[in-house]
Amino acid sequence: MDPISDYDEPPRLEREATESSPALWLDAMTGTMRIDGESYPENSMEFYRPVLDWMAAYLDRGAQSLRAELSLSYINTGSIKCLMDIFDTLEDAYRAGRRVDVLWYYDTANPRAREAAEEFREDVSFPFEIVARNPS
Amino acid sequence: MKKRQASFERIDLDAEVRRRLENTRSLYGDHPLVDDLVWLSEHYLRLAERLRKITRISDNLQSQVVTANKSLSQLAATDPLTGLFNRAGILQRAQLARTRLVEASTPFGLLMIDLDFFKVINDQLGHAAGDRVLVEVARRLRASIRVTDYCARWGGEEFLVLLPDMTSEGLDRVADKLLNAVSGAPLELDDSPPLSLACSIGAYLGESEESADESISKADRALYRAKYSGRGRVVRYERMSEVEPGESQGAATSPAPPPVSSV
Repeated sequence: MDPISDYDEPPRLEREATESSPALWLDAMTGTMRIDGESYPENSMEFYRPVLDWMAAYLDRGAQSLRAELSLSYINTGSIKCLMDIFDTLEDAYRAGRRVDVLWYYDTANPRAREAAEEFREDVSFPFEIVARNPS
Repeated sequence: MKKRQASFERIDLDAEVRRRLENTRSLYGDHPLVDDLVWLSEHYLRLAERLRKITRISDNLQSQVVTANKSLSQLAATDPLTGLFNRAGILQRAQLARTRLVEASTPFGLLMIDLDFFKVINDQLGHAAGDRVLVEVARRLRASIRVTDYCARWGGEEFLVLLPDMTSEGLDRVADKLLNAVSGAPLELDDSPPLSLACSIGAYLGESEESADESISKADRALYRAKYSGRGRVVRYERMSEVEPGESQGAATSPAPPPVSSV
């Protein structure tokens, strides 16, 4: 990991989950982004814009690694599009020689979330692990 | 700017698409804009493929939500012990059936059924035995009605049967049939002697203009008359005045023997 000490903006983007949007926890210090919850915000583009901006800013500063930990149970169409944009950004970074990996957690009671992950994984070449997690 | 070269690495475009792009190149190979055309075509095809994928993922996730909703609403309409409709479930059904019946203007039957001396069974043999009785009674009721009829566990030991498209004579027949089905063969239990069951039934031939609440309360009143005039019988709401209500009020009337002889 490569901590970024001279980061101008707050190195962290945090958002609480709501009924229709996931929690965000994006930390430049550890190079980790977590998205956790259900994702059907009214305006997905608006919701995910800060995530994409954060990624762009983080990668622009020459960060060498980025890990995404995703745990999404329901994803609406707009959010699917946004996740594809996120994966595109990760793929570009990976192709540019950065270390990138994705951990996709899914609930074993929710096999469709696994299938969605498999669909996303088809389009990328970086390590993309799909991990079963029991409902707690 | 990106290199305007068709690349197929990210998306597996099928052979036909490949062929089309190769074709474009071979047809317009010497045209100054051919690279742009190939670039544009490829990006268009990529976009189309992505749209298909988004739709596929979305539909797949959506179908899960729909399935979950269905099983939730089924769960909400079902009594978990007996598998019959619960109160909310049959009320929903009743409204549906009544809408249809108004159009068809045929009467429907309502049977409110209460097990006799169920409290004694519960108290003397325990709740597990009580549950077995309820399950068995539900089975007997369901086995005695048409597939187009509805049967619900209305409350503790109370059942409601809705019989669409019924005649007055038919209703009497079905009520007797259910009375006999419940009090038929004694129920074999594991650690106690066979248990004789009995029930009281209030019957009412519903009219299309009436609210469900009103119809059900009439069947209910007939049931109470059946209870307080000696149990183990059917009372029709329409003929309630012919039935002796019993000399005193309440359970003191006709002290029938408790169903459990030993223990």
